[in-house]
Amino acid sequence: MFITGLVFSFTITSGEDSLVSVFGFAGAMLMLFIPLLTTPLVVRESQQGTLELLMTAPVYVWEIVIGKFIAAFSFFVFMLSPTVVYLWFLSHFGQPDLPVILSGYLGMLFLGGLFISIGVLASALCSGQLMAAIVSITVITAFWLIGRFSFVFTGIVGAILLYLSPQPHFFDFIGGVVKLSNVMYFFSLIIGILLITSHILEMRLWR
Amino acid sequence: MAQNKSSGPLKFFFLIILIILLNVVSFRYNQWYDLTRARAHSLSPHTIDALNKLKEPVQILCFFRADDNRWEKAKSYLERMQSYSNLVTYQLYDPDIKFDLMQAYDLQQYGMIFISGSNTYSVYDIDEPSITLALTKIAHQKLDTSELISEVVADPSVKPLNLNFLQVSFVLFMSVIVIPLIFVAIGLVVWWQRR
Repeated sequence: MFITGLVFSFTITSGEDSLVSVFGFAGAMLMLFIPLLTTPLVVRESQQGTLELLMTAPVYVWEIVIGKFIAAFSFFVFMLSPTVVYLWFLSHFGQPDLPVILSGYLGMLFLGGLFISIGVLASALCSGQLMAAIVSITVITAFWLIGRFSFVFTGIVGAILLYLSPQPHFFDFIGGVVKLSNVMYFFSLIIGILLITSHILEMRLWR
Repeated sequence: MAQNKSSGPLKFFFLIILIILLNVVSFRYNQWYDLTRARAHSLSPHTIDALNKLKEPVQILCFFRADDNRWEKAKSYLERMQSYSNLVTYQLYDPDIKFDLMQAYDLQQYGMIFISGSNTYSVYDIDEPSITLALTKIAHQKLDTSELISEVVADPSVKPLNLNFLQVSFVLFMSVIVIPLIFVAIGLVVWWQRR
């Protein structure tokens, strides 16, 4: 909050009446913040021995995974909520483009959801919190940077690599453009990763 | 034991394939909404008209370095053009690697070459009027160049932010000190109650 507040103060003093810089900075910060939030989700249950108890409860495995995801996502939304005050500042001192800012928030929610799903997967894969954090940060960073390799590979491979990176999709949202393909990208990746997590937990159950 | 109506490996595999297919379809038939006040990400009516009138495929060869800002700007225009006409295709080439190709098309500097049939047209300025002009030239369309809009026109009723020292101090104080402290306080209260 402190650093985001600093970024916002700098942008507003430079005359920018939008949250584009704040969202861009916050999006990068999520790469470090989200893994710290998500690593204990499954790992701590496993270490305390409550995971087996949870798995014997009368719920489906995917319901457990969705529950973990929603818990982390709710906390993420709670941490994002104070930035609405910046919107009040902008409205008070300027004439911000509200639909663009709302589109930016939508992008932040999607990006946070994607990183949280990766964090939950890492937590399900690893036996220790430190390992889960390292795996989570590595995978998220790799996802973020994979688009850079699209210039090395031409044709369909380059296009796929660029599409896989969340960067261009996220930047479209914070720039005020809502594309169906971007919405589908985030939804499908989040659901796909949570499916994989559910499958991994089931394999642990049957081991 | 958890109720294990688990998706078997086959069901899981088909779900992943479905997800990939949905992405391919949404990418191919993309619908997008420009929410900016000045419609900064939308093409002008003249460009859309030029695209709708295309009868033959137009190939656009782009010669930029990958980290060139002009490529990002060009790509933004080209993607929007593709959403209006599937006759438009584009390809990025590294000018240091494909220098011979640049020379073959007599491109004097980094830029784009529009190709349709035997017609070619070079574009060095990455803005919408230049791109629209290139489209009309190679497609032999008539266009009144005086109607081309050079840049997105900002809404004159919207004034830029101009804060005085007191206002800046207030914003700084609230966003850097007060709001983070409120959240720290909430966290401490929650921690104290759970102790």
